[in-house]
Amino acid sequence: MKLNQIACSLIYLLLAWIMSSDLGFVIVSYITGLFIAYELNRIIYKKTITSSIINGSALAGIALLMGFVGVKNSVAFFVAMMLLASLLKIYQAQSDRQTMQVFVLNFFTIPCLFIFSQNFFSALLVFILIGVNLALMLIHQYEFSPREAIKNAFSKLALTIPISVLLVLFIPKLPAFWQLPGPNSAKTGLSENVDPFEISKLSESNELVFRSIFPKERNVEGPFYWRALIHDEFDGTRWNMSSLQSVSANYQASDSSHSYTIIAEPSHLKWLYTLEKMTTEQDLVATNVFGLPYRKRPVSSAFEYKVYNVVDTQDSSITRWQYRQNIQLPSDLNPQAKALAEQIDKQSNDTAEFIALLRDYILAQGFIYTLNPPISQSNDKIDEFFFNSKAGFCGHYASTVAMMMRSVGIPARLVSGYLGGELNPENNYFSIYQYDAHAWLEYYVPNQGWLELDPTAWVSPERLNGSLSQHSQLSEELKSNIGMTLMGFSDVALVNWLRLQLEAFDYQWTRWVLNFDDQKQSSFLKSIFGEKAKILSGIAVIIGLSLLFACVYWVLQRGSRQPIPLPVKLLRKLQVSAFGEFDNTKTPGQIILTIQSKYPKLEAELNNFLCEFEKVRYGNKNELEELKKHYLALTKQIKKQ
Amino acid sequence: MIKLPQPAWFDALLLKKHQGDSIKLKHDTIYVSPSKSGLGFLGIAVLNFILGINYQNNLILAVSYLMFVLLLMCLIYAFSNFNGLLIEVAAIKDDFADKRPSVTFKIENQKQRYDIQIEHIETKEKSILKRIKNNEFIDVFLPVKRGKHKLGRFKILTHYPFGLVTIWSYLISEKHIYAYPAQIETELPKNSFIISEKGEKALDDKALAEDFNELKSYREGMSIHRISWRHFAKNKELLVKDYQSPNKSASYGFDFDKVSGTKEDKLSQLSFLIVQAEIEQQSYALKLPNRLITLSQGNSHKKQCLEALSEA
Repeated sequence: MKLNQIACSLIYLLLAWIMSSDLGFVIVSYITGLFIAYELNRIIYKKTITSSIINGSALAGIALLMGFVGVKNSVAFFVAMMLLASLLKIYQAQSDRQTMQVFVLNFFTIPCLFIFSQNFFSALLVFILIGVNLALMLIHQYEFSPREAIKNAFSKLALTIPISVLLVLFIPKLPAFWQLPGPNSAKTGLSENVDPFEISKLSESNELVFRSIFPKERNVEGPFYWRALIHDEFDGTRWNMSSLQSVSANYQASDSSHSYTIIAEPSHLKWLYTLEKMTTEQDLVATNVFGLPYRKRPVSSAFEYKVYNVVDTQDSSITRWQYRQNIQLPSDLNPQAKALAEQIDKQSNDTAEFIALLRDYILAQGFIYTLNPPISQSNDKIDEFFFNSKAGFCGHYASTVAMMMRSVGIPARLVSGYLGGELNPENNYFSIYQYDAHAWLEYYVPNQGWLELDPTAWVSPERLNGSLSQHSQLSEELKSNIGMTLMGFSDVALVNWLRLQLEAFDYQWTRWVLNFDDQKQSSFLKSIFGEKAKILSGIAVIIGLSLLFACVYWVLQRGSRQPIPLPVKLLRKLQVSAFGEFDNTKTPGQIILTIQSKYPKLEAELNNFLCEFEKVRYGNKNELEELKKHYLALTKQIKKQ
Repeated sequence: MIKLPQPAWFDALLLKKHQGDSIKLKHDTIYVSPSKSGLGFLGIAVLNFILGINYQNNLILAVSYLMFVLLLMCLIYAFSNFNGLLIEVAAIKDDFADKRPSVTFKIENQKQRYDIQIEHIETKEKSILKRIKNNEFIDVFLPVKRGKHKLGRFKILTHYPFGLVTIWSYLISEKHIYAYPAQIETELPKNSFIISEKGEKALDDKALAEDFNELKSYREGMSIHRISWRHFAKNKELLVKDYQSPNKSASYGFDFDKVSGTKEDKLSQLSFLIVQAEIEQQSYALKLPNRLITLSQGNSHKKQCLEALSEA
């Protein structure tokens, strides 16, 4: 009982703490607190927990869940409730049957980790915990010692893991038939309504956002502006997402081959990433009017799509309401910047000239690029930045320039996404992390359409190449932001090597394990079975499993059959050669006697054989040479006669 | 388990295969199915499958497949744990109905096996061997009412490993077990005919009660009515008045009609008297309405009498 309770509770606590960012710190602490309180109670008062305390704990737990997780966040609510309930149940369980129920239920509770985290270490952990659970079942039911149980359980599990992997590979996948609520957890990432002065929060996160895989033979060069969101509504501090962001449009692929593949990590947002206007064959992905990909439902697990570049059919004119939308500006904010914009506007003939003059102004004023700019409390944040601090990051520059363009009637909008990425030269893919988050802008020129502009590049041209982590000036700032992670120690060669190896492994894991979807499976199966892949693979699974189980059975049964010792074999052979058949009912002495009666001449030799046989079988003699010699002599003589 | 209605032919088949006093467990006498926990386990595997498909989550799907495979593996492991055992009715221990009438099984075995259970189907009484390595004996207690009973069906089963499957077989024995009437303490009835060895009427019970010749220390099973309380009060020693003496050797005749009470009460009292007589090493005869067992003594005589009481 005690072992079950402590071991199961530790399993739940481990899971809870790993998922704590998703389940909420409060409920995880509560579960931990319960466990500690119950164990202290056991140690100090030597009493078991009464069911009224359990019921009270359950009620309090539900109240906490309602308050801090909420029913709306249904997946986290459910998982936290499962953990809490299982913990209480194992402390309440009186009978063997109740305990068994908890063990069986653990096969559901433990894999819940996969809803939130699917990396290799989670997978390893889940399989270890399942093994531990099996071992507990053995200890509970058959009084195994822990060592014995662990050995027994894991040896059985080790055999089933490869089989289940093969089953995942070969059993044709079904399409999702129900819409289940996805986990929605507060993750750092792009926000739909962005205060550009706060984007640098992302630079504190070294979480992977997505990977883009380029065909091996292609040599690609940056800068890579990964577009994700268009913001065309400015309220003075925030740039809000365009209302057209989720309006789908049809684009034609310009080329039959895809230009790169993207594996998006779960972001719990709908928005995906692309360099240019794109389309894709992935059913779950749509393309909006800006040529940006998005999903109908948030990305809750790693997700792959191929990007096809498109023929840009965009009309180079914009409608009146679009024009109005892209020059709207709160009238009373940032007067200084507006005045400057008007001044520059007067000096320039067209948009290009306006931009050039603005660029010259910014360069002349000695603006610097930093991830940790001074915090402004002013309402006129842009004025504050532009005329006082003169230090900021991408959001500051993009927002300022876009606002100034709008103030003189040039339609402009903010784009948020990511810039750059860390190249893995071996597999030719880029990893894009949260700290690569970037904001830039697009402006409209009649007859040319929307053009890109990144004012940050004026101040910090180096930022255009590679990832932020490779930026010589900023990498120090970045590391101090990120803190104690492998990335934070990337100066140490060994640590950096380790980090890159883990990253490469995680890439392969994501690519081949997490993203093994029905498309990949059917092409994989076709490569093996040809056309009728699905049926053949089903048959192969059945035949394979039957063979395998037959093998397992054979191996298990082999041990139970005792081998016939050599002397007995010799005796039987002797009998066969003398009489042509083997009679199981006689003792060795009787057998020899009957042979003697048939071949009286061999009496002495037969007696010697029997004597030697008895020495080997019933005495301490281990030497078989003498016996074999007698046997050979005997068979020779029997044949002669 | 859910009790499925068993058609007659199935019953006949079962009898044909499993009747006898021993059974060798092999492929055609072993039955397999998921246990109750196993059904729950299967349900959770299906649940994981649904989750895996709908979240398009290969890892949850893998866990689900792993559970299916594990269950199948359990069947094989359990079968192999069971296969080749030879179960045999080794001894039948008749006893009083309120004590432990039991059957001893011999399990012939050469390898390490776990969790071998034998259950008497009628009484649901079960004995478990958690692990065995060699030949082993196992007692199954049968809490049956007074009477002569056919042993009937035993279910031999195991849940090893993990308790997710049930693997079972039957042994249907035609042998009988006696549950003797539980003993009810009673005084020797008046007018029990008491005859000396030579056949003459020597003593009446009154004389017997007064006229003991020695005190013996108390042993379990002796009547507490014969304890000499006087001695107990004096030296805290339990002593029993012993009536047996070489020259006063007496024989009892127990008559069903001479004890009082219902039929069961009568049988129980007779059962007590027989045991007492055997302890005192007296000869005794037993008269039942339909049967007479003549004067004798000794274990086999006692057994015969008790069996007669059981069958009455």
